[in-house]
Amino acid sequence: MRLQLRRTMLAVAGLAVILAAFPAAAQQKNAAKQKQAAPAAAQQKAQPQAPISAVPTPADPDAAKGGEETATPDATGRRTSLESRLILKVINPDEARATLEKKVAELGGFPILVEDASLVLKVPPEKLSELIAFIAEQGLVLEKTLERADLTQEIARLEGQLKSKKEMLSRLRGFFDDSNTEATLRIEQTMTSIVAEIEQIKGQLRVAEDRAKWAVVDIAFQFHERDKIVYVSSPFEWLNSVSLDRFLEEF
Amino acid sequence: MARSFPIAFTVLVAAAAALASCGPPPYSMSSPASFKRFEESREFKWITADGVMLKAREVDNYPEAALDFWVDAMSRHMIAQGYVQKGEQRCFSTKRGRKTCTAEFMLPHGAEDWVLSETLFVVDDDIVLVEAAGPFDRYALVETELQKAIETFEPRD
Repeated sequence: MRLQLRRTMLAVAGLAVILAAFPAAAQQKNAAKQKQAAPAAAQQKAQPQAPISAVPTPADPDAAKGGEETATPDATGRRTSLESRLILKVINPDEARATLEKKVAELGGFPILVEDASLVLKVPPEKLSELIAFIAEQGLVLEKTLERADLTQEIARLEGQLKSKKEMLSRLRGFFDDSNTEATLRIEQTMTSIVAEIEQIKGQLRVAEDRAKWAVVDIAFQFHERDKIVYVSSPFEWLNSVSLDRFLEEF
Repeated sequence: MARSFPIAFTVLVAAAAALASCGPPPYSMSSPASFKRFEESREFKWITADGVMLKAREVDNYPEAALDFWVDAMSRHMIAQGYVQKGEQRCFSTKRGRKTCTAEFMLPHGAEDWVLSETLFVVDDDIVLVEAAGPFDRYALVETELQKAIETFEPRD
């Protein structure tokens, strides 16, 4: 009886030591990874916004499939998300919307939001510049922005966390053989919480990889901000009389 | 008799000035097909059935400057106010060889996006502005005929 109690205590103590050591090890591992990635990230940050034609493209966008999909890195091994916003003035928005939906399907993409005044499309990153050029042909592009975010670090961090949690889980399984009921229950509780954490990390990883896998194009057929005009006084007197409001008032 | 001459002269000049101000605006332009002119108005005003408007007016060329200067100043001023310039400014010569530039701006107005077009002629001490405005979709339909008509615009008869 005393021997069994001693074994149980030893098992619990061992478990506690492993649990304490793993997050620290994972943190150290992540810190080392971040340290390695930091100069590259700083270099990426210092770069001006890349022109659309210079957008890195994944070699094989279909590679990221299955339960634990991994986003395909670009030629430099980095995974980036691309998001472009455009204000497009067209005479007939319905017609333009239908044309764009057809084109995005041809390019292997799909619409994620279709509204009267806007359209949000997802397209493989390598097709982004082609889509933007096609959009520009449909009307007058008043504003165009391209946001590019480096997801390499975030994905590496999540992958690291996932790996360490999985290792922790498999180690815990090994303790079942030598433990009594009470210890088994504690191990089960710990394992349940680790499984929940693993699922959460998997979800975050899927979101990050989806951002790297698809470029998003947000097209607005009208100005976003309707109260954009502010009165600015000009030192040239007649210029202060040039405005749409005054024109309409005096017509 | 000698005293009445200056009075009569003054009255004559005043009457001539009044007549001049009552007369038609001192501009000419070939009629764009979709536009109708306000014939009775003392101002030079045109409009389409769906409400695209055109008007000409004069302002002082002060401080006196050339066309390029004013087009640049106007574009900067409009953009500073939040207008979006619609394409590049277009400089050209009218059919009678007068130099002019057109700049178009866009802005949200009510529930629609509107276009405001400004064409500048520098004529001695004056700047003649040919202004046109309308909702984007309706303006786009008459844009070409408007440009062709402005190419025939003459600030003085």
